[in-house]
Amino acid sequence: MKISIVNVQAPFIRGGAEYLADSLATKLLERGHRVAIVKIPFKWYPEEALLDHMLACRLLRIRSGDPDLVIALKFPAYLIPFKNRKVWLLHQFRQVYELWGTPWAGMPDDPRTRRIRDMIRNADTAALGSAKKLYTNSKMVADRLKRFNGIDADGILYPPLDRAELFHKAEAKPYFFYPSRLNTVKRQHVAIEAMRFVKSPFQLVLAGKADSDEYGEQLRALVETHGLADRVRFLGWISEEEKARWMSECLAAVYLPYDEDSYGYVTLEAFLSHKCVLTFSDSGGTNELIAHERNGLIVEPTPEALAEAMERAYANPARTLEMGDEAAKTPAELGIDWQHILDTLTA
Amino acid sequence: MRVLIASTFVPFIEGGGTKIVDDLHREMKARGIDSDVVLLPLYSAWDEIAEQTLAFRLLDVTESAGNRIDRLITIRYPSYALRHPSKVAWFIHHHREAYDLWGTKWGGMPENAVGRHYRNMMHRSDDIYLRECQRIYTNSAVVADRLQKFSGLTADRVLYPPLASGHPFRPSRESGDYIFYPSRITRIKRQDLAIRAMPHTPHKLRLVIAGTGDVEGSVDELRVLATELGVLDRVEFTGWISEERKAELMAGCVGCLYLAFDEDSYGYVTLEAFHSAKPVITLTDSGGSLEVVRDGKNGFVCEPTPVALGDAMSRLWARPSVARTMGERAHKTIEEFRIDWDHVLENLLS
Amino acid sequence: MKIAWFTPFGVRSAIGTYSQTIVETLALADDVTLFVAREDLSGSEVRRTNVPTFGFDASTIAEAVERARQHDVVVYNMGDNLQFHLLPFLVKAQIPGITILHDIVMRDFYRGYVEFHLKNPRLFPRFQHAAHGTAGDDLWAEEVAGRFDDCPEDVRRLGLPMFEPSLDRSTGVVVHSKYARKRVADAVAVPVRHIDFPASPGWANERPTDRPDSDRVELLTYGVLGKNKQIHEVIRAIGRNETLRESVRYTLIGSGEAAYERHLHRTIAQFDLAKTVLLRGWQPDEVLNEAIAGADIVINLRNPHCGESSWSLLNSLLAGAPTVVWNHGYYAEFPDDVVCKVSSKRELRDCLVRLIADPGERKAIGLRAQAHARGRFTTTGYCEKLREFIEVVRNQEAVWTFTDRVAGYLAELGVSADFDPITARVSAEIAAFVGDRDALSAPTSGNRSRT
Repeated sequence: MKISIVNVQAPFIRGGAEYLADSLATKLLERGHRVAIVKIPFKWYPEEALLDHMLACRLLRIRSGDPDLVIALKFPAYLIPFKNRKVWLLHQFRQVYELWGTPWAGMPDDPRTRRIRDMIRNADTAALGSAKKLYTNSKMVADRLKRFNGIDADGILYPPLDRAELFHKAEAKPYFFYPSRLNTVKRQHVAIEAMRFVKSPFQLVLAGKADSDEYGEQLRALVETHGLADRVRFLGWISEEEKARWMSECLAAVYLPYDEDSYGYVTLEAFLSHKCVLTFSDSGGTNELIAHERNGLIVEPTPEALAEAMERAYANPARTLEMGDEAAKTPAELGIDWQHILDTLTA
Repeated sequence: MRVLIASTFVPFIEGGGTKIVDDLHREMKARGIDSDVVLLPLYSAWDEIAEQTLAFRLLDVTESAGNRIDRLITIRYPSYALRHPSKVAWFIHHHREAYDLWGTKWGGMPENAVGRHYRNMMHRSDDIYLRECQRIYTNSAVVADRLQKFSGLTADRVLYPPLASGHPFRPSRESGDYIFYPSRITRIKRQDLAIRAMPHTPHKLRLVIAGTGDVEGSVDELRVLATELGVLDRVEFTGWISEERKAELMAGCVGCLYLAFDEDSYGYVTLEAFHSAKPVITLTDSGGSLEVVRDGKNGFVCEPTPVALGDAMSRLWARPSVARTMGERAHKTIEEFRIDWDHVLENLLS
Repeated sequence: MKIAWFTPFGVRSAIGTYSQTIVETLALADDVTLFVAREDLSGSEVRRTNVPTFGFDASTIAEAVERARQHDVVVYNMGDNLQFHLLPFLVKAQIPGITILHDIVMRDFYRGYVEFHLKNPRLFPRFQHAAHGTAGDDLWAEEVAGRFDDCPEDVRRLGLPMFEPSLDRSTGVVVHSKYARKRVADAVAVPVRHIDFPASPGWANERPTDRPDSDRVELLTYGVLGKNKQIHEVIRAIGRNETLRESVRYTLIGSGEAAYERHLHRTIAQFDLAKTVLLRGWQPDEVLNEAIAGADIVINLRNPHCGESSWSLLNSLLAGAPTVVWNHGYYAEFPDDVVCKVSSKRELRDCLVRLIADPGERKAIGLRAQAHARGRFTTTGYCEKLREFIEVVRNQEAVWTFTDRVAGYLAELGVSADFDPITARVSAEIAAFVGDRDALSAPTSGNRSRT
């Protein structure tokens, strides 16, 4: 089949959704399909820009070569018209849904912005409702879809890793590993703050590039201010292989996003490496996969609580590693593999 | 400095058009420039281009996630519709159906009121978008002329697309006994003319044709032609070959042919030959190659007839020292025209 | 809500009084900043208000724009006078906002604009064309041929009023009469709201007064004295009728064009009414209001009308004075038993004669006028409706500024409904975003002249 994967891009930023699109493409190619990836540059601010980009998507034409199937992943890319369109919903534009009225909305709540919000919701409902099939990447996203747009998803497809085979178990060393883009949503600053309260001799290792220069500066300043240079390590950007190695040798992984739709690659990478995951109660999707004390620890979103959890994990290594082995069972239990994804999407 | 390269592509149909984008991106990264690529999908039906152009116009690429994008470089049409205060176009062509191909058998737009309206829309909007560019470069003088003729715009300079770094073509002083013509086998590249020229060349002169055809049986057609002309034993068809093999064959030839009809640019083959220090034989109606091939200096330019072409091939093959001298000059042509990435980037980024 | 309010603010400006009335009430619930001409804030006579003001002039437009941008909504008061409305106009070109249109006919504004601001009177026909297309060109031809001189009485002015370009960049328009609402709504696609005037200050708590005894029935006309006020006709009516000659005194407060005043003096002399008709010239508000309070009949004729809504009319209604008006335009929008409507010279004379003879009827009409005005024209009512409109506009604004932007891009492409379906398709897409009842009817309308 000729399959187009339609996604958005924020130039100069590569995030989870893009890696997923690439992985999906690779797996489809391996199965013998022909694949094209269409990425639309998206700037979501000021709020007027949202309307512009939505209309732009409605006016794009992706029929060249007569693709058999289009798989769309994110807002506003799933607005691009195409008859045989399936959506694997990774993201609606959360700012106008559950984040509306909060500081995370990115815009004030007034008559003007309310109209914009309503227009986005209308467009979403129409585009998502008219898809041939609609899957979400987590239960949270499915619930929100039902609540705000009145649409029932056809199922949940949890995103697998592209190179699951890289991740393996190895002997644990005394550090906690947090690999992810560095930004305020991922809250690496809270992880660093937690290290202030840590007395035991373990480290926090952060891998990844900062989304904005300011945030990178902020993190470095935190380390310097609190004299944590020997407790916190910044690896910067590292390759997948290096990441797999660091993950395999950590005591446990840390993943602290604020209210994310899905559990994140980090969670999955940790599980496949037989490592449990420390997360926050308000992290969102991670809480779908992680059960407290079973395959990870879920604590209050404060530096102190995190520090305490880390200390506990360090003090009870056997238990911690046991949780890691439990975690390794989770992916299979939930069908988080490419075979299942492809079968479903190309059915 | 964040530099965004933007271009269009036709999913499932055209991969070729993105080579220059990939090469440019790679060269920027290699020089430590923070660059990224936006490839916008284009469906080239003449009556649907305007809406898609409007779609591009609506996008905002001045910034991404709070980070300013300092320079936008647009390549294929109509990516230059994107708005940016610091926009530089490396202009390859307009939508030719509405320009130089309008009214010809190659143009696909109807010549009625509707067709004219859509054509006018393209002209009008192109004029606006191109005038927003800080600078416009073209990939050949042919294109620069077309830009002047149709849009009234003078290109700042011609920037010839260099070969991608890491290419295998090296200057070679070997002199072989064959003429080399590596190219896609299509009518417009006129491999048939090369074969027709063979009867007008010395018996020991060989021709090596590399490449595969779009259409099935195109190579067979050529084989049949060679047989009819009694030159099949002197013509070798290699079929598809790797870049490395092409470089080997290029190094061992006495000279290279470039026989395309009326192309915008001189073709990568010409450039590969120059890098290999080999002279190029091209035709008076080949188009862009005439900008860089000078008759008697770094190659020959002859009439597009079997006799004239045969004569040029013979002259080259018969005098290896002349061929070598011309090959040295051919190699210097690269420098003369600054067909290198430093030059390209210096211009696109200044 | 933070409101930036652009307005003339000189003491002699009626719109200045109106603005002060409104913003001082708006400021009770919202943060209002008055943006006025710097010169209005200094000098011997200055309006005093507690509402924060920002003074600027043509050289500090950028500052005003910056400051205005910090507000949630910008309101521009526009009227047919360059000196008063140039500054709001210039800022409006940079920030879209709600326009309160005080005059339908904006021709004099544009005359002044091209002559004094652009310093090129030859540009006038271009603006006339932008507003009225070929009809505008035809009128220009008439003007060049000497057959049109744009004098206030010429009805062609109302036919080609030139308000449309002055509403450019408006996200919504407020007018003060049904007549104006219809004219403007027919020309633009942004929301247009008719809001009845606020109360005229100084009359809020007036009780009906018994007119002081005077040997004569006091007739009063006030405001700018112009030919369309039909003052000369009133004088003639008085001059030709015995009863009127003997019973009335006709006072005129306000000044007018010199030629017209000379005409009035000649008419007075012609009918030998020097003792009966008194021209008192311009008077400050206190004097004027006293005169209104003491008037038995107020004559407020406008013929031809130019689409105006007369705020000063409220003064006589609130004062309980029977008011004679010409039966068209804004004046026709009042109930028949609240004002005395005439539509001919004969009806004017008959009406005056009837009212002179019947003090009881005068009082009854006056009471009805007062009750009507008090109920209908209130400052709190105005502010409520204005706030509501601002909400509607802000809600629509996202859509209008969006379609405006898109219309701009479509114009670059040079689309044409005759040949390509692009505009229709784009409209349909935008309408789908907007959804249901508030769907656009003319979606690319923010800039009709462009598409």
